[in-house]
Amino acid sequence: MNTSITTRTPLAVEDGVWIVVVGELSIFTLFFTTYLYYRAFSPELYETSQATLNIGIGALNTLILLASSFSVASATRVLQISNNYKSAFRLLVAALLCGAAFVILKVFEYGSAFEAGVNVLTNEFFMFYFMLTGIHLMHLLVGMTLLAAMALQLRIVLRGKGEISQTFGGFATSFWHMLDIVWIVLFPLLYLLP
Amino acid sequence: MKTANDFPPLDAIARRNHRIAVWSGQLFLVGMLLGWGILAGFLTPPPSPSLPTSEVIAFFAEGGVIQRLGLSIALIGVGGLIPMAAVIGDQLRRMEGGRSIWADTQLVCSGLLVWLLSQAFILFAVAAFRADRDPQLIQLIYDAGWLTFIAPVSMVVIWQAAVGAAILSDRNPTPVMPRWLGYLSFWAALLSAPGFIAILFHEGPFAWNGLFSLWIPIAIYVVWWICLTGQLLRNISAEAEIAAT
Repeated sequence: MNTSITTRTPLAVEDGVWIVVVGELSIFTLFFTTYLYYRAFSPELYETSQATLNIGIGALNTLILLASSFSVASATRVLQISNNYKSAFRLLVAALLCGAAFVILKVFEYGSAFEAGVNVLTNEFFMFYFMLTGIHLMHLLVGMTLLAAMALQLRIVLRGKGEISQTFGGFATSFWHMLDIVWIVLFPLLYLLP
Repeated sequence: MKTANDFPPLDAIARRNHRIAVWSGQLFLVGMLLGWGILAGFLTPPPSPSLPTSEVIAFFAEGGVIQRLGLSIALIGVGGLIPMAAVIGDQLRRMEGGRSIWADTQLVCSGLLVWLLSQAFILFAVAAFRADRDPQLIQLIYDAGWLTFIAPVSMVVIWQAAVGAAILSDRNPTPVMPRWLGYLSFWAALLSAPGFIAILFHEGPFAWNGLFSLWIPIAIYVVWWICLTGQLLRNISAEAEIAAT
């Protein structure tokens, strides 16, 4: 076998990863259905509350997450076609910085909502707004931890010690893309729905 | 490092003991669902946090002997988790080798979960014990019981995550448990986490009787538990074949 092939470590997505990805997507679908169900009972309350949200920050966060997913996908691609761990590491750091920017913007958004006297108990819309974005944020922190662990592995490989786990990388990157998909549905449902 | 192959396989008597322990773990599920959930009436349907005090009192006053019987079954059954957790720990040790942190983590979590759930059941039993006391006190015990039951999520989350971590980092040539079970454990941990938000709401899907704080965590717990039980029993039987060779 060619040595350059044996040392390459493309990521592998195991079957079991789909339990987490499909499972999470179905649970978030359930969240969204519940939200739409409750919304149908008092559309006016939802509309007036929704109008106070900052669409600009929401849209910016959407772009940030898309950029982070692009970085993660590029890192996967790099590992698939080459041994360029350095560039894969940089792409993961870029994705992590995007993730951090998302968290900072979210904290800022929550902060200005609190200043305006709005919180999770204000009304039904804000219950869903804070809970859905909050649960997504919690998952995002888990996803960032997974990506950071993968980046650390790459760093160790760059120093010539150890090797990267193909299956862990496959899981971490799939999980991150799942978070992106969830946000892409969550954003229009909470911020844009007419 | 020790691997699964280095541990001597269980002999016939040990296999029997391990099976007894796994089946005693099923008492935990029966106690929870049948005792607490159905007989004591906490899941049929779950009483809401926004229930008026008069109805909270009626819930305990009308529960009668059946309710206390249900709580007793729950209190007895919950301890069945401990032998079961010992078997989970034994299998996790086969994955991790001698220096097994995840096996220890899951054992401590299971033990604390038994203590915590007993605490919640006892609080409900206290309310039922003297249902004619000051209504405000009944209300207090009712809230305390439910929040003790639902809000301290970290025991379950860390327990499931520890089992997942051990399965996914198993380095044996033939993994002790299938890797999908590791991913399922990880997912179960994620779904169990939002239980603590029940301390915020008096009604709706995030309250203690809601879809996301109560029903989904219970459902995923049951699925995880059944898969884990089946796998433990398969693993114990498989050791008979190893022992025979």
